[in-house]
Amino acid sequence: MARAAHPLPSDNRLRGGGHRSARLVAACAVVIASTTLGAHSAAAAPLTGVPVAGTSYAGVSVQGSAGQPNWTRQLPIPAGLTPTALTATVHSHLPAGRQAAVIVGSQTVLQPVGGQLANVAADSVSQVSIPLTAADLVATGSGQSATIPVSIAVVNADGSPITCAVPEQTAELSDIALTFAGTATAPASIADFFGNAVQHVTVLVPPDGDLTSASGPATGALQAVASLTHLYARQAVQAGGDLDIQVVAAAAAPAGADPAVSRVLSLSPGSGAVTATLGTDPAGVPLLRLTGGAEELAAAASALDDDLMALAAGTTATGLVADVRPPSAQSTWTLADLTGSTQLNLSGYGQSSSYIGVQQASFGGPVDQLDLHLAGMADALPTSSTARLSVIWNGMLVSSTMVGDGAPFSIDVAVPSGQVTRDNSMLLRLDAVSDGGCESAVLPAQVWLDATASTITGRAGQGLDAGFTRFPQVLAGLLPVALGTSGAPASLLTQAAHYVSALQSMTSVPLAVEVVGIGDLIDGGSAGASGLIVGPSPEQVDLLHAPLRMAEFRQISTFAEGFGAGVDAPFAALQAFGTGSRDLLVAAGWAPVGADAADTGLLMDALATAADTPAGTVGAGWSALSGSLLVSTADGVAPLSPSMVVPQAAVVAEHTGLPVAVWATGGALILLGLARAFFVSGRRRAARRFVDRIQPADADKATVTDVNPSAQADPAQLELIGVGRHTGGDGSGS
Amino acid sequence: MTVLAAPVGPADGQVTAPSGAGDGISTSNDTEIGHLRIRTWWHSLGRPATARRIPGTAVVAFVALLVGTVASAVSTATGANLLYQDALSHLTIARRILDSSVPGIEQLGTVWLPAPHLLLMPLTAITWLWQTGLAGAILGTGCLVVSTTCLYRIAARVGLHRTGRLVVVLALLANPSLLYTFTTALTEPVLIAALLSTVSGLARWATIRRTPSAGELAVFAGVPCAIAVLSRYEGWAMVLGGALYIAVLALRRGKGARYAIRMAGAFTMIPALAIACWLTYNLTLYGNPLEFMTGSYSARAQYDQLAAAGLLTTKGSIGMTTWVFDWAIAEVAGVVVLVMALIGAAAAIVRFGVSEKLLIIGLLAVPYVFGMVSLYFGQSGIYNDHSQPISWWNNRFALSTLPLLALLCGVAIDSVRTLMGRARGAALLLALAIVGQNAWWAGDLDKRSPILAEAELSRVASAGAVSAAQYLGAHYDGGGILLDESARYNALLPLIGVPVAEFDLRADGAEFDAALANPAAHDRWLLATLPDRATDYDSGPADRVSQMLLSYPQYRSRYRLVFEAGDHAVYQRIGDR
Repeated sequence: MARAAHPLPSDNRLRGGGHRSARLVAACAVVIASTTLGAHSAAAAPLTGVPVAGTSYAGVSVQGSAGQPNWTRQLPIPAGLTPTALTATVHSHLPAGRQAAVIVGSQTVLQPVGGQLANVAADSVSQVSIPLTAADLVATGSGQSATIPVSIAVVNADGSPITCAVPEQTAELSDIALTFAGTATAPASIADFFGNAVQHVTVLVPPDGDLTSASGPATGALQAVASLTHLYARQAVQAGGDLDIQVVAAAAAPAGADPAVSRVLSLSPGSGAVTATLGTDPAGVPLLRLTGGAEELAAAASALDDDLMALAAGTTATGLVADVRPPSAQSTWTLADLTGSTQLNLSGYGQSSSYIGVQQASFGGPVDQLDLHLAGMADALPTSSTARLSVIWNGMLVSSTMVGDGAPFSIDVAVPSGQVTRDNSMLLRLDAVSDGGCESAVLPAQVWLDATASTITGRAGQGLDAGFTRFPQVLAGLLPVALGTSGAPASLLTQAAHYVSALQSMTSVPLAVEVVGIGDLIDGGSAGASGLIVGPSPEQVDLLHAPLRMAEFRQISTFAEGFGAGVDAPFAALQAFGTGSRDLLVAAGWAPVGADAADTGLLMDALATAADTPAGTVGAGWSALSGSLLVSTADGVAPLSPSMVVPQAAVVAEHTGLPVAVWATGGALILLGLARAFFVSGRRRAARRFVDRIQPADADKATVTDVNPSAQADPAQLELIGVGRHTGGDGSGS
Repeated sequence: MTVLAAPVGPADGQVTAPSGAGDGISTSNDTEIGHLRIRTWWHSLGRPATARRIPGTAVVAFVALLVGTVASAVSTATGANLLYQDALSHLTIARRILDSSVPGIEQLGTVWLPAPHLLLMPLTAITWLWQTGLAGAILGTGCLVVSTTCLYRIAARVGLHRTGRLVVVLALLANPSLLYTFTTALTEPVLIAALLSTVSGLARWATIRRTPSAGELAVFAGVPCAIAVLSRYEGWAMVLGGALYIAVLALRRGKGARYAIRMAGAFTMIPALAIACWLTYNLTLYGNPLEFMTGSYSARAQYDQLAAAGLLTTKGSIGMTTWVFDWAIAEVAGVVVLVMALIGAAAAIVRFGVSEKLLIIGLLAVPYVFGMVSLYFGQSGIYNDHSQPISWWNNRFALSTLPLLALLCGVAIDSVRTLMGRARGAALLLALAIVGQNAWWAGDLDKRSPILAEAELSRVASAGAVSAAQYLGAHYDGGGILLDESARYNALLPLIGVPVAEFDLRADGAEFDAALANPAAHDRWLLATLPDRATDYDSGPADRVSQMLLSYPQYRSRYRLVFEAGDHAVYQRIGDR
């Protein structure tokens, strides 16, 4: 389900989650639990599930290129196990004289994978199998498993480092898998429960409860999904682990889970403060049971994403709680915030670069302009060398500055609206050349960016069209979820969990999830908030004026787009659209009368799974959604443009009558005309009466024009009321 | 009788030049003369209309010429004037009357009314003007001058003073959608110029002191209306609207039914003759006088096809029609102009009542009524971001309502002057609002102006076709080209730039059919939609060359694919015929 590892090849997650109040509350709660109730610490017990032979790290890969610093991923080892070997695939694009060096723990293994000709890079694929020992393990913090650092570098044929940076000469290590010896052990405390080696989490809720309202465990379950997705996304920066998380409404978690890397989080509705109890489920998978009131369960679920959970050293705890308020907006981030490093260094001749990811959501909401301020210092270079620092934003060059005079530099760039996307990439690139070639350069070329003084400031605004790419930043950290009635409650909750996980995996800002009534989101009563609706009825979809109504539809078929949604076959659709000043995500299904409702449920399941990022699949799931409509039919799941749908009857029916504005405008103009006619007529009658009164003798001869009482008045005023006005032409007035 | 408009400035615009002016000796005198001339022009803009002269017309014409030239330069330099496929088609039709394998008047075809092509013809005969689309920009700039001056003259006939008149001109000339359209070879420029000339002539007939003759009416209103009639069907509606206007005014003035009929007849005579000519042309060439209306290539056939596919949701729905057309107008004209025009409409009702002035304004509403009626009855279609389906198509039809809105803006400002004695402040505020509106448009013109949005849509959709055309233009070495220019995104001839006589086109009739039957014997080059990309849904005719390639795979033994981009390809014959 959710691949929590960040898809970008760099540490660019915002750190810590950033809400101090929540952490304090959680800390107090955990400490209170530990001190007043006593910590029931237990020695780590062996797990009784399926023996662990090995595990693969789906989707985890590391890259290196000639002359560039190595980027290291840490592979977590489940407690109690000892790795015996690492296998992986090396993909390289290197010329002769270059080779890849796989660095695992304390070992460096050279892979002679270069091409046949010097200066001509060739693609090459090879397998690598490296025996491991305990010496390769690196100890991590308390409660976390030891890890094995893995990286790959491009080196010279003799293993020496490359002086000149050549970004085109690359090597990648993928399909990484480890084999183990030993027996995995169960977590000894609540703090250890969600260790960095965990890959699968099942959130279990009772099947017989109220699963669709805020008074049930739904909020807690969905909040747990968000919190754990966020937690493992943070850990993935260092650990490289993936998290597959799902919500199941059943008495027990599905069988078949690997106890070494799986966990079950069971939410049991009760009342009052939450009690957390450690144990194992019938299949031997470690289980953490949270029992308490609905609100308290949500608060406890939020606390799972807090570093201070490390204080929960016992096997039971009560009062586990964290504030679920969304974090406050922050319009300016330093590069230190974004990278976790106070300095960024680019060095070497040739071309070296550093990548920084910038998410709109980081700024607390949508932004349509970003202001970059980069401050740093470059080495003074001899006259035989030149260096240039370029800033490339989403693949487009936005700034280029010559550096190398030894003076501090400052670069200010405004990234306009059209270049600000949901997930932005900023590439800092140093191009350095020396007259004699980089091999003969006598002084190094280096640029140091002061990451604490370099900033990115977002200006609030919406520059993206309505659709999937507006999410999750439009949520501003708060995700109201409404579950409808079109489908089994358990299925809707599971589907909602997929969407929550997908949205959370796209932002470093922890989401505060709250389950609300569907009416609140339909009429905007929930503070006019953007949100997610799963399983509304067709009538409710109509009320939302969604682009695709839950009724039969026809595509404007084209040969090029072979997707064939049926006119009257069951389908499910996920839609992202703007309504008023907010944006909604709506997942709904439809089936014609007489069709099996289960079909719709399966289609909605497929839709939710497709929207979530599949484990080990980079560039799929939510990050791959670009339009505003995703449709699931028996033929599969495919995006569809609303403009490619023949207008549905319900849509056309909404515009059968004249718009209110037209009625109002037309009515006002007609009334104005009538009022004028009435007024003018009255004035004329008054004029006639006046004439009749002052010239009774000649009344039968008098005319309005001859003795017009308004003759002494301001002609302009008279023209306004249409009295005494004469026009050109042949002399006939109105 | 009282004429309320007060002359402003020196009487009759007479300026006595200081001694020494123009002798090239005294710079200060030259400057003074310059200032004096500008002041004279300025004052002329506020003088009342006389029977023949509307002071300030030349100044307005000069400004319109300047604005149109700049717009044309920008549009042509960027190639934006060639983005509309229809614009390319109009250029091609105009060109092939003289340059074709079968040249002649029959190349006018029957899909579009002929006046824009006939006006373009002398310009497109110059290859450079045809290839660059400058022919359309030159004609469009001329139409802009005519449109602006006519609207100014209408404003003067309605009795607006200088500020009001200037607001009218500003509201028209500051509209980027209008300016863009007038740099293309689309039919709107000719239509709008002809319609405004017609209304200007009718306004003159109604407002001059003496009674104009029927001949004058025929010349000043009937002739331009005939051009409108032969440009677009809005012109046909104007014939009815104009005749009604004349009849109502004549009866209101107590002239009797005979006079009303005589005058209405004088006005409609020439447009009716133009219609008769068009029917005769259709009868002669196609054997059906209504071929333009009922033929397989007619707009009606296209709209019927859309309606059958459920894509013409305005048909039969007054709500949808109003919703879509009014939004098209709002987005083309801009909210500022629209709101001010509504205020102007209220002011016009209060000030003018049911008078000839209100009827003149009402004449400008004829295109609006026609647009609504044609949409409702399924004779036209518009797609925008408020239509179903959502897309960008034909929003330029709303442009013909812009003169009405501009005039009403002028009425609104002029009413402020009437009420408060001066209106410069209000006019300045409106001008600033229009500048703000333009700044907003400029922020994302390709999305915020529906007309530019359609152009952008066309640019993206036809990118492959345009690349293929450019390739063919650069590599053509004789031997003939087979092209179905009627198919979607195939109106590429100006972009290819090869003389039309080198082509076998669908418009050539039997020659095209013969070439399709045995292409290798006729043409060395083919340009077509790739057979496997041909769409089965299309708002226009399918590419018959592409269909031929699909039906006869043996073509592969006679032609090789030499260029492919998007869904278009260029084929070159292998060896000799």
